[in-house]
Parts: sequence; C-alpha cells; structure tokens
Amino acid sequence: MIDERSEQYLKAIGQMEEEGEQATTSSLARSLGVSMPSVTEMLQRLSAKGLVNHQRRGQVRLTEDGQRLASSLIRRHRLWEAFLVRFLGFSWDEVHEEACRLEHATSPGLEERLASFLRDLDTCPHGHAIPVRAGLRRAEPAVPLTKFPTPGPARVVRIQDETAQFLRRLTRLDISPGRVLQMEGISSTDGSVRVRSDGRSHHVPAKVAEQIMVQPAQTEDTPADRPVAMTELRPDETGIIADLSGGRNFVARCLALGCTPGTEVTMVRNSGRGSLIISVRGTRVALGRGEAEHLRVKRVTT
Amino acid sequence: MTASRVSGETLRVALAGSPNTGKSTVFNSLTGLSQRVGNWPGKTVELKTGTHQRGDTVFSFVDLPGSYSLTANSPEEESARDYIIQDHPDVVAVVVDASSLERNLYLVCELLELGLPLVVVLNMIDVADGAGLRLDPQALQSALGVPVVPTVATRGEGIPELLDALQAVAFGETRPLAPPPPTSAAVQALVERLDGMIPPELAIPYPRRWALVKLLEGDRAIAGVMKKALSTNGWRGVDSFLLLHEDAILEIAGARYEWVAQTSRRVTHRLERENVPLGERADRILTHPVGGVLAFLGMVAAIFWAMFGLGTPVQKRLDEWLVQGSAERLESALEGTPDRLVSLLSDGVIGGAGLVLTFVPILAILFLALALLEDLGYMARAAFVMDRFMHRIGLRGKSFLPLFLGFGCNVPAILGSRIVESRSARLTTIVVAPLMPCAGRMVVVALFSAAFFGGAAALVSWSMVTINLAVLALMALLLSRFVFRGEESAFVMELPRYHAPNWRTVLMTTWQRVQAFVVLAGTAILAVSLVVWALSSFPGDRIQDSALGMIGRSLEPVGQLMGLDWQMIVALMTSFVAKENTIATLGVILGTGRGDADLNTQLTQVMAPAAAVAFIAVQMLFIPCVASVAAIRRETQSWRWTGFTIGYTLAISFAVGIIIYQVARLMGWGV
Repeated sequence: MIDERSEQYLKAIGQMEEEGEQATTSSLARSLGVSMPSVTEMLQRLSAKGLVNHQRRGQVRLTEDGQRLASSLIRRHRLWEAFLVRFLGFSWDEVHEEACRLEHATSPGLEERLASFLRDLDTCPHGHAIPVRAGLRRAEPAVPLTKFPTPGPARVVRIQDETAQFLRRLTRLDISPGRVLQMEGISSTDGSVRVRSDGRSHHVPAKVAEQIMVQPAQTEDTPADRPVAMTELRPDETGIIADLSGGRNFVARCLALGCTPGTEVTMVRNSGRGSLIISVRGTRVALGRGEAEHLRVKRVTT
Repeated sequence: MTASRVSGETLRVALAGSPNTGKSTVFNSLTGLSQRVGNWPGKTVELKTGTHQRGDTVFSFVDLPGSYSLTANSPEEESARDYIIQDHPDVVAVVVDASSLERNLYLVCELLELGLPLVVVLNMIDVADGAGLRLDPQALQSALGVPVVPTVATRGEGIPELLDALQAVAFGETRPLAPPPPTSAAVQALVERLDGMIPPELAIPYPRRWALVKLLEGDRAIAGVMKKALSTNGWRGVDSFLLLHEDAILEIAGARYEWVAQTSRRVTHRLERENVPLGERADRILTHPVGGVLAFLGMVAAIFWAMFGLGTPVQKRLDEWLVQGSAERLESALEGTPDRLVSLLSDGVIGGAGLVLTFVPILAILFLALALLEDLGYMARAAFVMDRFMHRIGLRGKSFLPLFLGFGCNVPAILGSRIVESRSARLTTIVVAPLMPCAGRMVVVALFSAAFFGGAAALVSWSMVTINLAVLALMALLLSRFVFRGEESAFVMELPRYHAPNWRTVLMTTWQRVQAFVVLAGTAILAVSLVVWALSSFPGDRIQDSALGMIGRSLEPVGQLMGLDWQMIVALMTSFVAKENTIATLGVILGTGRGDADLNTQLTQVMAPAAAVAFIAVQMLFIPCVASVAAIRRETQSWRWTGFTIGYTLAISFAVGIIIYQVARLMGWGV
C-alpha cells in the first residue's frame, strides 16, 4: 500500500501525462506547491517502488504500474466529482476538495460500482475525461483560450484550475464545459480575451483564460465512433466490442462466450426493454438488459 | 470418485465439453445402459459415469458437467476442471459443436494449454451441414495437433472411430504435438513477475504455470488455494498485484480467441445459402416479446394437459391397484397376524411411500416433456422470454424453468434448480419452490372446492393458486432485497441451435430423473412415512387416540383462529408425508369409507365454508412434504436453509389462514 502523499504525486504526474506534458521535478514542485528537494526525495521513493522512472534532467515518467495507480486515482476523483454534482446537489466549485478526500478512501470495488452507476458520463463536471479501466488516455486535444485563433467559435472542453474561487468566477462569466464561445479578439496590451456568449460580451483576463481549454467548435460535436452501450444497437445493427465491465464473474463469462474486445457482434433482438439477443462468433447469446449495458460497442457504419 | 486404474486394459476417459454440444448424446452412445448418476463428493453437482467394453478393453467414462472454459465460474465448471487436472484421466475427450466451432474451440484451446492426452470429438456435423458450414476434420487435426474425430452422435456415427482414437492416445500411440502458445509477450511478462512473488517450493494441486495464468484471469478458486498456501503477507502482495492487473484477463482471453478464430477460419467453408434457416425463422416467433410468451404458455398448457389428461387416469389406476388393492390383498393374506403389523405395512409403507410412487406416471410425462424441450434447444428461449417477468421478483429467467416444474411436483422443481448458476439465485429458487401449487395439493383443493363451492369451485381453486404465486413472488423479492443483497446474478446465456431431438438422450434423461425420484421415495420418504405412521398408531391404535391426535388436540387453540378443529389439524400434519394424504386422513378420522363421495357430504356437515376456505389456503402454503424437504436438504446441503423453509411456510400458512377465516366470517360464510 502507498500513502496519500505518494498518491498525490502519482496523480499529478498522471494529469501532466494526460495533457501530453513532460513532468519534471520543477513542474511537480510548482503544481503541488512543495519544494524541489522534497519532490526529489519522493520521486526516489516512488522509483524504488517501481512506480516511476526518474530520468536525467529531472524528467519523470510513470511506469506501467504507476500508470495504473495514477489512472485509478484520477478516475476515482472524477467519478466522485461527477457523483457529488449529479446526485448530491453540490455545485461544480465545491466538489474538487471533497473528491480529493474521498479518492483515497475508495476501494477498487467501490470504484467499479461508481463507474457502472455513472456509466453514461464520460467526463467530470470540469470536463476532464474519466479514464476507463484500461488506463490513462491522452486528453482530448485542446488549447488554452489565450492561444485560440481569432475570430471563430470555440467550444469549452475542460477547466484546468478547479479551485472554488476560480470556478465561481467562471460561473459569473457563464463559462462551463460544452459552452460555445464566440472568440472576438485578444487585447494586445494585457492579453485579456474578449468573447461573446449568448449574445453578451465578456472580458476574460489572461490569467483566467489560460486555464480554459477550448477546441474549434464543430457543427456536430458527438463523434460517430464513440463507444455506446450494447443496448443502443438496433436489431441487425453491427458493433465492435470496445470494453467490458460489471464484475469479474460477469466479464469472465462474457469472455468465455467469445465477447472479447475487438469482436464483432450483431444485434438479433432488442425490443427496447427486457433482455436482448446478440450474435457473436456464430453463436446466439441472450443477455439481460443491465448486463448488456456493461458491454460497450463501437457502431459499425455501413 | 472412480475406480483407480486396475490394469492397462481399463481406460479412464473424461468427457468434457461446453453445454449444448450434444455431449450427453455422445455419452449415451458410448455407455448405453451402464450409466450411473450420482453426486460429486461434497457438491450438489451431478456426476454421471458409465463404461463401454470392446474386446478386452474397458473404457470407463466420466461425463463432466458442461463448461465453457477452465475458469471456474460455477460449481459445475470447478468440478469439471478439478477432475481433469487432479484425477489424471488416461485421456480427455472434448466434445465440440461443429456448427459453432469458433465458440467451442476456446475450451479446446485451454485444454491444449494443459498438455493433456486429448481427443477432439467434432460432433453435430449434420447440424453444421444444415447451417451451410463445411468442416475439414483433417485440417483441424493438423492445426490442433491432436486427433479429431467427426461424429453424429444422434445416429451413432463415428463412435467406433472415437473409441479407436481414445485407445491410441491413451496407450501413447499418438503423441500430441506441442500446443500453440497463444499468450502475448505482455502476459508472459506478468506471469514471470507473478512467478517471482510465489516461493517455488509452494505445493499447490495444479500445474504451477497454468495456475499463475488462472490467477491473472481472476479465478477465485485458485486464488483461494493460493491464499491458503501462502503467508498472509505473501498473499497480500500477490493480491494487490492481481488487482493492479485485473485487466489481464482481457488480454489472455483475447489472445486465445484470436488463435481460435484463425484456426476456425482455416478449417471452415461457409456455403452460400438462399433461405433463412428454419431455426432463425422459429426464433422470430419464439423469442418475440409477445409471441414468445404466448408460445411458451401454449407449451405449458400442452404439458399440463398431458400430465393431467393422460397421467392422472393412470395415477388413479395405480392408486387403486397398488395402494388400495395391495393393502386389501395384504390384509387378507396376513389374516391372523397382529393388526399393528398389518397397519404398519398397509398404512405406513404402502399408504405413505407407495402413494408417492403412484405419481410416477405424471412425473414421467413431465420429465419427458422437459427433456424433449431441452434437447430441442428450446429451454434457453423460454428462459429468455421469461427473464423479463422473473427479473421483477429478483430472479432470472433460468429460475423459471425449475419453478415451473413445481406445478407438477415440488421435488423436480427443487432438483431442477441446479441449472441456475449463481448460488444466491439457486438458493432463492429452492426456498420458494415449495410455494408452487403442486398436483398433490391441487387434488385437495379440487375436492374441497367442489364439495363446498359447487359452481364457484374453479374460481376458488384459481384464487388459491394466485395466493401461492403472490406469496412466492413476495418471498423471492424479500430474499433478493434483504438476504442476498448485491449478489444479483448475471443473465448471460447461450441460445443453442435448434436440432431434431435424440430420443435416446431424451428417454435416458427422463429415466434417470424418474429413478432419482423413486430412490428418494424408497429412502427418506419411506422413513418419515414410518415415523408419521408410528405417531398416528401409538399409543392408541385409532388415529384419534394416537400421539398425532393428541398433538392435534393440543394445537386446537391455534386452529380455532382459522376455524379448524383438531381433526383438520391432524389432517394437515399428515399432509407432511404427502399432500394428498389430507384426504385419506380425513376419511379415517371422519370414519367414512375411502370413496370421495362420502367424504364430500361428511365434510360439508362438519365444516363451515369459511373454515373450508381457510383450510385449503393453509394446506396450499403449509410445510412442504417430506419428499420436498428431503430434496431441499439435498440441494442446499444445509440444515439452516431447510429449517428456514419449514419455518417460513408454517408461519405464512397460519397467518394467511387466520386472515382468510376472519375475513370470510365477516362476509357471512361462517355458518
């Protein structure tokens, strides 16, 4: 078992890797608000446990084990945030602190239950992707609002600063993940950004704008190849299994029946409620509806 | 479990395979009538053995429970796997459904990894043919490196060749080639690391490397063995390593299936077909949310008609001839011997266990119908369409089948619950099964409602059935909500291809189930019948003066709440031997002859309608009969669950009886 402080480090490195940034002793010291020597000391400990590779010039990478731990922590954090907002009526500026405490007290079993309970959610309230079980993924490509080419529509993808104060400020500016902002210009004097949302114009200071990650807004913003629950497939529609969850026994049974990731399945019967029948590897398999939701598939477009 | 190898001339063959591969048919073709059905030691898993003699070679077969993989996901799979690994059969024959080769080769792949003497039985070639699949057994043989024997077991084709192959492999005439290692480098690396964490001298009853892979696959049984063998600290390390790599199973199973898919593609030729196969057309109706339920209910109705239309007359004849006839013959033959002895034989033995036996024809029809539907491949469809309804009471579609059997007799319902995989769902099924209104109870309901309610008899009977089913639903719901919370079982089930039934298999299954019932009647049921006989014959030899009568009288205050006097209570108590005993007991106590007509009039004279309604309700919900109790004990392997079932049926039956009586009295039926 590793302690909470080590977990904080792993999480911080994991988050940098998600963003495609190189974690270093100095960047860690900055993001965790600690001194460089204590970072070095901790990195040595983590490296001895086989969780990180500490390279020259202070560069740090997670090992495979480190990645698993980090992704699990990040996953718990974001699941809790999502849970608190959705079911306990917290506002998005209150949940980061709470989740920081809860993530360390969360067992793998609880994590799985949370994940399957919230399986329709892909991101936390701040727009960060909730990792799947397999591990860390590179975050959806996005740039800070300050670097967005003007003019044009920008969709807010995620918010980097999750402190309560900062988020309250965004609430006042009516900026949250998913919102489309019309970028109007960047001030040449102080770097502040002028955006228009819902017909109102706002000035966003540079310090704030650089924490808001955006993407060029497209007309359609749901990618066609995103995995959906098996229950979404209509009869005769074909999909490819992307991943399975729902407990060890269930996963093992599905695998033994041939539902391995990458396998093509065809929906035979799905009447919108009740159990369904799929055809996989030349065999017909009946699945309960709840069970089928644990199988995520990519639609095959014909 | 099995006789140890006597000489080189007795070959021990384990028959493995997934469910629905025609494995039982292969087993039947091989062993014929030499089969024996028993239980795996310490488990409620059926064990079938049989032999085949050819020249001076004796093949001794063990039919392993159907399993999809060597990972123990159910007690059946665990038994099968442990037998293969720990009992060292001389050769393992794995039966494969040729019409669904890809799914079936997974188990073969796992067996190959174990490096055992193996023969692959490529069964149901004819079904594959019908589905437009042409297979090349030679190509499969060279791909797998072990003998492959194509068979059509339903017609006995390929069985002699199979015996040849078994003999050749067992005597080492054919050596298996090195099996293909379909493990990826990543998995190999994980296995190495796990290997380093476990002391090399650790003794476990499995091949070490194989066990390590199974650990990574998350096999709970192997994890249990390891946990016991390792120190607490050692296990903690292994456990957290496994937790960290719990996705390894995806990789391992994925790699196997990749190899399987390649192999299967290489040996299968798909023929173009114009028309939709019959099975698929049938499924359009049989798995339809509405049509499927109607079709299923139609089949249920047909089975009931056969049971009661054809079986009941035979049962009546048997009752006259076997029970009453032989009791009379006995009485005349034993003239002069003490009355007690005659009574012991005629009332205790023949009237108790003998009466239960008269139900064999009805049961045989039921078992036959079920075996037929099972062999056709229909049962899985029934479970599928019924899952929607069963889900509401916390059970899954699979539990419907055994519960449905309970309409005939609760005993097969309880014995049939074995098909339910998860322990919690199986226990729930067993515990609520005695609430199914069995034929024995319906006889009593029919008699009473006809005697008291004339034209409304059908309505009263129907209400009684409804009350029972409602209580059943409530109990199942309570158990799943409170006792087995969070243990919900997953509904994942293969729908096998339909195929023409094999009469031999159907009849064999029917015969074995009937036999099990007869054995139960001859042992546990007979013993309890004798005890109840003793209670009803001593100290005074009339039932009124017996211990049972005294107990009944002492319980009268409770009975009064339901409007029941002591005679009715005694009748209820004797229903423990067999539900229909109620009638016979009342006949004796009320001093009528054995004819129903006399009893009818007698009853209406001694009882008010309110009490009659209460009585049949209580008798419908009362403690299960001795045969059911014996079956519950056998299937749960637990006195606690057996006791619980007796306790809750007693409590509920009295509660419902009191309510009904009091309400009926208020409605003015009390006179």
